[in-house]
Amino acid sequence: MSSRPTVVVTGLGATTPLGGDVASTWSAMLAGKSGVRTLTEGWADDLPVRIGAPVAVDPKDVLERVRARTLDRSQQLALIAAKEAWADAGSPEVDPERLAVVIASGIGGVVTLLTAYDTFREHGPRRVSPHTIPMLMPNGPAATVGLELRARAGVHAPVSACASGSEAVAVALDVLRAGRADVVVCGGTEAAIHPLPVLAFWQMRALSLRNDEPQAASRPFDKARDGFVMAEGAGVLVLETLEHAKARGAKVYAELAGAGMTSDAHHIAAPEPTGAGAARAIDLALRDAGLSTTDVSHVNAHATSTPLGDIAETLALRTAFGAQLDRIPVTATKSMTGHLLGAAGAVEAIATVLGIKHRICPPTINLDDVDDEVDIDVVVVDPRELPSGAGISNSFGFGGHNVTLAFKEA
Amino acid sequence: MAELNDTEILTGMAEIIEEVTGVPAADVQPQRAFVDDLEIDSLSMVEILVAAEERFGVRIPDEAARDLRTVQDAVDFIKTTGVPA
Amino acid sequence: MAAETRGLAVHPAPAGARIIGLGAHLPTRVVDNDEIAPGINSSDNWITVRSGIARRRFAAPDETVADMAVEAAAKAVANAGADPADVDLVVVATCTHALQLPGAAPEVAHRIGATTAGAVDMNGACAGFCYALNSVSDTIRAGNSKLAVVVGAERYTNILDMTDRGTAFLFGDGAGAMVLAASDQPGIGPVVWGSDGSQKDLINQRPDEEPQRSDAGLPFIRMQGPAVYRWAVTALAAVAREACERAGIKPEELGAFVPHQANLRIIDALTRSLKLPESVVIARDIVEVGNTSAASIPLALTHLVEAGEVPSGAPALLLGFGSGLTYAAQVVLTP
Repeated sequence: MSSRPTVVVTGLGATTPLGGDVASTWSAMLAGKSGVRTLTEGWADDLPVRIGAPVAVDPKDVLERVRARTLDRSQQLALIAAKEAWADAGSPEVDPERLAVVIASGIGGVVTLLTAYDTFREHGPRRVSPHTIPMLMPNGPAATVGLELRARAGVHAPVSACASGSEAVAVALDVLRAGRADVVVCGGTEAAIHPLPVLAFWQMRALSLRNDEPQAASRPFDKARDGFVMAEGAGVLVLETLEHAKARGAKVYAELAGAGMTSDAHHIAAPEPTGAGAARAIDLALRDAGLSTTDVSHVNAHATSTPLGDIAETLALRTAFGAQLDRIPVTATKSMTGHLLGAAGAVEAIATVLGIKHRICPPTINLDDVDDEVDIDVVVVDPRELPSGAGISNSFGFGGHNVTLAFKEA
Repeated sequence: MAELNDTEILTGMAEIIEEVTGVPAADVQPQRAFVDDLEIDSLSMVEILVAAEERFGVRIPDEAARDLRTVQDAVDFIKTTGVPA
Repeated sequence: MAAETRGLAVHPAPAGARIIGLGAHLPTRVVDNDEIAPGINSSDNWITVRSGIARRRFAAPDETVADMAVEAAAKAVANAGADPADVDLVVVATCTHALQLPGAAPEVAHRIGATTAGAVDMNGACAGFCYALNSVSDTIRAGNSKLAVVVGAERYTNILDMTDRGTAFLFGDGAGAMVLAASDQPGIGPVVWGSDGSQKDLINQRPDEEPQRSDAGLPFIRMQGPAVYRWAVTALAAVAREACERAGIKPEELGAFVPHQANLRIIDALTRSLKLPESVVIARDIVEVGNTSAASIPLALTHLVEAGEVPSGAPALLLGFGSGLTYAAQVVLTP
């Protein structure tokens, strides 16, 4: 057990509703900005849900046209974030057979899938693009990044709905610990803002209907919360063994010290109401990281702004931390970004890494009236300075997936 | 449909190829081979031929598409043997 | 008429046993005094003054005695550089395993990969580890085992009444383990043990008087603290001295004194009675982990060694004592 390599974070990249890169996303988070807006696409006008959080910088303004046309939007976002992360890591020379990629998405190229079907219905079979399959396959984003970076140690695409992005980071940790690679580029992406996914979530009563006040719709832990807001984006982290990072003089953001993964086996979409499975994931992550509850300086909660989910997570945190929770600040960055689904866990991992590196926790916005059952210290209004300590990030997905990541200061 | 001449077809093909692959229209010369010279991959070829079918009102069956090695091969096919769509 | 006597065959026997590996496991959840105090109408200061304890660990809801024992045992085996398949005996000292059967040891043996080991639990309450350690050491000396794991593992939250001023603040969860191997150089001294069953009611459970049960469905632990304190500080100094004498060591030659971490005031009183000089490191693990009963001695020794506070090969006096009343002590050489 003590012979496992230490794994560190050496590069970050993102494109989110708050900004087209990590720096703009992070400063918007600290400033408490919202990336949610009224959807201006024509198809949104007649839908019961007319708000969402598209990325702040359209991928078409970043990627070269010809490259972009054979990539689904989820692949485009993943590529943009991966390129930023790789450059941030110093664009290292890595033996391709020691470089792996783990990029998750909740649903892959769903917009390509639906659009191609429409094309077939309206124009016939020959008009279906030959690029359709590579664009819609859920491993598409991972494969695209793997191709871009020439990764030959394996390209993986775990899927666990809203926990996918975190699961990708946890899987990357395992790849490095197993010695299958020295560097792993990992993260998540999602681009599913399209009538069908929106309506499908709406039919589950999962989305906020606060159409007249988009920026106030995503309100985790608040009494008036009524569901999450769909967002798109991508987050990518470069992970490598400490030994490899030191040898090339890489800058290190933080250590990915541990991960915990469990499953509820309770309901296909609703969380287990006492948060027991989630509490176990938190405990496993702490144990894996060699941390006790007093070592944690803040928690980046999954908290999506749903009536049930936010309470289940509160109970899970209370079970895992006991009274220690009272001195640990908790934040819900989905209040600002909306719910990036398969990318959420990765973007939140980035926020957690930056939080412990800079010792500052971004605020949770729209928390005007805390739900009575939420007895935790949520950071509101202004970002809060943190003491030295470890950061925990939770992600829970439809299907009962629970993933917790534990980052330590480097 | 009025009969198309070589130049019209070539210009049309060059525009399609630039749209699909980014290869500049000026590089689309008659003797250039799609794969060996213009480095166009198989998936993009399918896109190009489907767009050509639409543009020129002809059908280019798969068996025939296999034999179109150069730009001129495609121009010739479209002009002479392309079956009206 | 002459009776025929015959003997049975015995194994060839080594000179003794030695500790070759240590391992500790603590649950992740830290519970400090401020979390306990409201339930017993008390305060952090009151708890610290009475016991020296600042914080303890509580096991996760699904974390059992066996789970914790497995973690500690696996670490100890790795620390010893041994192959778990070679372990031939696993003994778990515990008094808080939630079931009468099966015992925890067979599960522990199975899960650490000691698939052919003998396995049994031993319940000596807070003296359990020292009894188990002696038992296994003697077993090795008799040639019946070559490589053994002794674990002290407790989940006191299984029997703790959080509203009881006498016990709620004292106990914690955790596990510690030691790997013992046959050796030409014995590293485990002769045991000194004893008991006083007339005082069996000082620390007990009272199912006949109390209908209420813990979340684990077990009767709560009850203790008469002052009486236990009096007994410990008067009776045990002599036991400690005797253990040293039997091992051929003077108390001042000890590298460490590792008594059961029952209460810091008992530890300090015994240290004074034994007149231990500054050179002897005193285990005060209780401050961070509370009273973990049979786990307290292996946890404390492992933590001292991991912190580099006791040199390898130094003699350490282990002194277990508690409910029964019962006690056992021996000097060991740290690995």
